[in-house]
Amino acid sequence: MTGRWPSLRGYVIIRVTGTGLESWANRVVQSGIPLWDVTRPLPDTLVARVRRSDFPRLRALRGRRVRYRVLDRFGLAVLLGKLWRRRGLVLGAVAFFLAFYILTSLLWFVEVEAPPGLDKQAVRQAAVRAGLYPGQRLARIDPASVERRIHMELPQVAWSSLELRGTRALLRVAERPGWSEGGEAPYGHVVADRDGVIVQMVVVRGEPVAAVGDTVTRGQVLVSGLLSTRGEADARIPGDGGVPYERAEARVLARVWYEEYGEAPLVEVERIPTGRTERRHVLAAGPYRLALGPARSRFAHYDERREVRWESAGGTLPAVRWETVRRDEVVLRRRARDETAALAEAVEAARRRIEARRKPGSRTEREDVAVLSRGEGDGRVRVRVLVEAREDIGAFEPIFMGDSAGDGSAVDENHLP
Amino acid sequence: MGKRGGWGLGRSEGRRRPGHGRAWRAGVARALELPPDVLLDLPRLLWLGGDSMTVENHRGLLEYTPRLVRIRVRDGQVVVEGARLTIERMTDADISLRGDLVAVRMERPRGPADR
Repeated sequence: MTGRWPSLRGYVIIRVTGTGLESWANRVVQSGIPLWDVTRPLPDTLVARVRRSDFPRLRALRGRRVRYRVLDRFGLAVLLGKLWRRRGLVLGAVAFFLAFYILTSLLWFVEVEAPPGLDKQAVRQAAVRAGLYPGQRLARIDPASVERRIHMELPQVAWSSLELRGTRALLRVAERPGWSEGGEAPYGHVVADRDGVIVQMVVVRGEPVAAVGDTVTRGQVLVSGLLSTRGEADARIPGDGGVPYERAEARVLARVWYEEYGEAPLVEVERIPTGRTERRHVLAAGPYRLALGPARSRFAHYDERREVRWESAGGTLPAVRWETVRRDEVVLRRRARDETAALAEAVEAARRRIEARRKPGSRTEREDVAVLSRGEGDGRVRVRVLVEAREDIGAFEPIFMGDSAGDGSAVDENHLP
Repeated sequence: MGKRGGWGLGRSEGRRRPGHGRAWRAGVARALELPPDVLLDLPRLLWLGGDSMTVENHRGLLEYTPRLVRIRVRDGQVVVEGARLTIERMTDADISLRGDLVAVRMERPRGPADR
């Protein structure tokens, strides 16, 4: 070979037949055309390679006694020429590899392996919140953070492992020993689930460690499920089945205070539709979205409505959704409103927030409303609402065997007498 | 150099003798300590291992078969014998051979007219 470049520019394999082949070769090289890989398969035949660009000049050097025949053509230029003739095939191949690359860089399946006691759907939902769902890019999945998130969200999970196998994710979880369905753990304390002052305590089972009149804070143990805290415990240790715990049960009524803030405008803005609308269609597959229509509305003010026109069943494949966004143009009209009505709305807003935080069965003892602003500065009234309520603040917290967290609920068996 | 060839300006001697220019160039090469093959167009043979040979400053291919290659050089012919001989590359300056090389010999003609 005469260097690498003939491969790039192309070369031709020719068969030369006739007589006087040596003198033909001499004529060719003397005219500046190099030959290479010359062989002589038969006495009247030479096979040689010449540059593609030199080949037309060979015709003039042929003479009467030799004949040429092209056996093959090679090189990048020849290859490109062949590919150009088959550009449909090339485009198809490129599109195939591109699609292959894109599709294999996404997660397609999420499998959850969980014992029967664990809710697979809950595990799956926690995984989705941690970024593990079909359609997610594989590069964005961090197994450690998914496992961490599952542990944070699901206390009943003792161990989890996420394994990525190609486009499939296998999430395996194990249940914490001693945890049974519905939070009915066999052992545990009653703890305060909010701050308050205890007014009444009815202990069904367990050892009270707080008393009526005590101010307790959230997370504080009110009734212990640990048998060893009792004075006369000798007779009962170990408990049923050889375990020194029991399931504490109590009703702990406490005075609890809620404070919330609310505000309302003194000027009411009315939105009046003009009747003009515009639409935008969105096709979404997993995290990818294709939108048709204006991204920015031509209206200054509008109400937007989203309507899902069609949605795939989902499941293990990324959900495909077609939705229409409809924007109705509105004009804004400002109208002054009554201060009393605005105040009432602000108080109502604050009450709603308090309501959202209260436990079921909570009873209001007292309510104070303090008006902070009557719209002097910016046209908004502001109030603060303080509610004193009476409610059961007891919450069950299970004891996990072998746990070593120092949060009061964890008990190591070695610490027992 | 010396009396016979002079410095190439031997017009005073009348008609040039055959080989006169060559002797003059040989003299220059010796005087300037240049490699003789550069000035004298002498063949250079490079034999690499048992399977590769390059002949530079050739004057044409005389015969080529898979068992024998005969190459014209100044003052004679280089004959390469072997088996499965192929011409790896051939330009007007050199010929590279490949194959099982067995023997290489130089054949010189008897008289100056054969050169």
